[in-house]
Amino acid sequence: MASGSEQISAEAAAHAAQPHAGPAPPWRAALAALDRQVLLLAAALLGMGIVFSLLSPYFLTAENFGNVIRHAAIVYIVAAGQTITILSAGIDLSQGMVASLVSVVAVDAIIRAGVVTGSLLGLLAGAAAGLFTGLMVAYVRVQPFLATIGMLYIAGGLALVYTSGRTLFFIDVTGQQVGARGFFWLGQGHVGPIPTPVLVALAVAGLLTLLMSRTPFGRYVYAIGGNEEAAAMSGVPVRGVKVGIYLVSGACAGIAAYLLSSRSASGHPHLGGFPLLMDGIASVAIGGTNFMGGEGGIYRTAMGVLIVAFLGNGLNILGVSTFVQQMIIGAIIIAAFWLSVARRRVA
Amino acid sequence: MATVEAALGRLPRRRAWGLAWNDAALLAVLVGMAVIYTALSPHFLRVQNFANILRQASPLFFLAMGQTLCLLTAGIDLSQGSVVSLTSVLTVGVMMWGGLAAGTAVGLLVGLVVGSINGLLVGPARLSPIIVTIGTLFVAGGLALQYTGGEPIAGIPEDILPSFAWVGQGSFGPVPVPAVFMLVGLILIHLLLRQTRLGRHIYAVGGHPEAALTSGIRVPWVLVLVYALSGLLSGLGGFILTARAISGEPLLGAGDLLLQSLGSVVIGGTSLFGGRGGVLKTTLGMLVISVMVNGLNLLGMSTFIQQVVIGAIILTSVAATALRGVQRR
Repeated sequence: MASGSEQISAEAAAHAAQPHAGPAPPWRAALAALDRQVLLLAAALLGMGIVFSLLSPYFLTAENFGNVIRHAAIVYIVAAGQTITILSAGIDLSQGMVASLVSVVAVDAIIRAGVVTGSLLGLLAGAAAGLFTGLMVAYVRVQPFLATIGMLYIAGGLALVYTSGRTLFFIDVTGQQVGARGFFWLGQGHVGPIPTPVLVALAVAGLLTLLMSRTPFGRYVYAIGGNEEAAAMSGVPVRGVKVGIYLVSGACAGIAAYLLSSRSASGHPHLGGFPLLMDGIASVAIGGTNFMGGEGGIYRTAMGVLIVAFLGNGLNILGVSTFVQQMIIGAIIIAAFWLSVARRRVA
Repeated sequence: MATVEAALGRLPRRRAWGLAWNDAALLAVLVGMAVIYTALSPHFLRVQNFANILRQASPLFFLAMGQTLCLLTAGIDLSQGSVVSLTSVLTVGVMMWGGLAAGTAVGLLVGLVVGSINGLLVGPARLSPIIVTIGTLFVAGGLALQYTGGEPIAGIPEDILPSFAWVGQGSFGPVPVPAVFMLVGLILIHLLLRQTRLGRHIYAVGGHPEAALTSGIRVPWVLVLVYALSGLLSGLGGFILTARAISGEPLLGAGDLLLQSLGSVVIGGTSLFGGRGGVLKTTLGMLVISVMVNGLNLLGMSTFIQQVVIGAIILTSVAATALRGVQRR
């Protein structure tokens, strides 16, 4: 019942279903490939949006939407990376702290060495953390849960040690403001009406979709999540794929950190951290990707991210305290998961 | 039924030599750390310092006990930190107008209630423990924050304050009160796991779930009990921690506590897949973490560096156990 294989073979199925020659129209293949879970979540999102619009005039404004999807885009990047690890029946708890680490490394490097070098170094730090985790999981055979907990501590601690707990602002040693306009534009700018982080998120989503549905890597991830021994016995290069999975997850955390630092114009060892990790995991859970692996995808997670983001936004506008919001999100996580499990059991 | 149960109890503990090596390695690490710290600091090898270590470790101890129970059933309890927070604010809150007994009762009940909810969702409803306890983490944590409006609450009446504070701050001679609780708790839980039917059932549910089910063990209710116990123990840990701070903190458990709890269990050698391990091992793991933190504090190492070191220790120890096959199905 893996939706991944549904997605992969949807085009083939659509193609085979048509008696006449020629490729199937793209929209038909896309429709066949759409997960019913995604449609369900989209309906829930729409319903929620309607309710909030009716309850408050501030909800349905361009400014509000712009703000919400700007942040949602950043959360999505993290959540998408997390989805891939969860699809392999793993998990990456270190994403929040890796984001913090990348934030401080990147900003510090940008201050010292300019935007281009600094950005590369920062993103490299994220990938390095992911690589290390992947090697631990794949070759030393540490449980992902434990490996990423260890990495969480290490990355978080390193971020704090690197800055002695301080925030890094864009001021160099002489006290001059460091120009980094290109950098700021990524987090705070627009392309037309669309905030730039959204474009980055779309690019990441596009790349990951290609990775998951068009490459062997994607199929291997689903296979490992579904049944690791069977995957290994059918020739899947399990260890290499696992390294890749955590590399991707770390890189996603890094990209998100990059955008967050750009938005707040600072490098902060507490940027990201647990709230970011929790947002990511909550989004994946609400999206309905199976935490036992093998089923789900980044479209579901996208819906999860949007639901969490707009729910929080709507409740904020209605004046509901953030504490109660937290409780509501917790209840929704359980309820959404229960629903998706119940649907699976009936099937 | 009794025969099958007995058979389950007689099942050979796979890779027992691996686990014994683990215990020996941990003891060596502890001794090694003690030697290094004694050499580096004159304050380490003192009764007062050991008393401090035990006092500070006691909340972690109870959380780790509960976590051990959950891990033995191949589950996990991520809501422990939030239970600590909720216990803290409700204990102090109720104590302020209801007195010592009411506050204590409520405080201990909170953990039991949250744990039972976890248990019902994991057991009879058969949901994944990770998701359920993440959900309760959010709900209980949010509840604690909402109850106090995000701020700490203080103001326990003067006449009952000393009695409450004694739980966390008092001593019997050189031995801190929490340490006595720890010893009693350790004995009780160890006996529960090793000498009672429920204990055998817990190991069976984690190690051989299908066999447990077919031999008539009521798996859903074992799970309810396990998570309820974990909640109760987390509440106890929160209670002791609050008795030291004598104020209700809505974010008391929101920091490292959960991670240290998991770290203690894992370093101790209990398997994530259930069925192997125990509270004595977890105590060893907990001591490793507590002694390390204490030593680094004495040496003036920043908490930031401590974090890195804890992470490295967790990774090293799980790598070692992974290579020896402890964390394998």
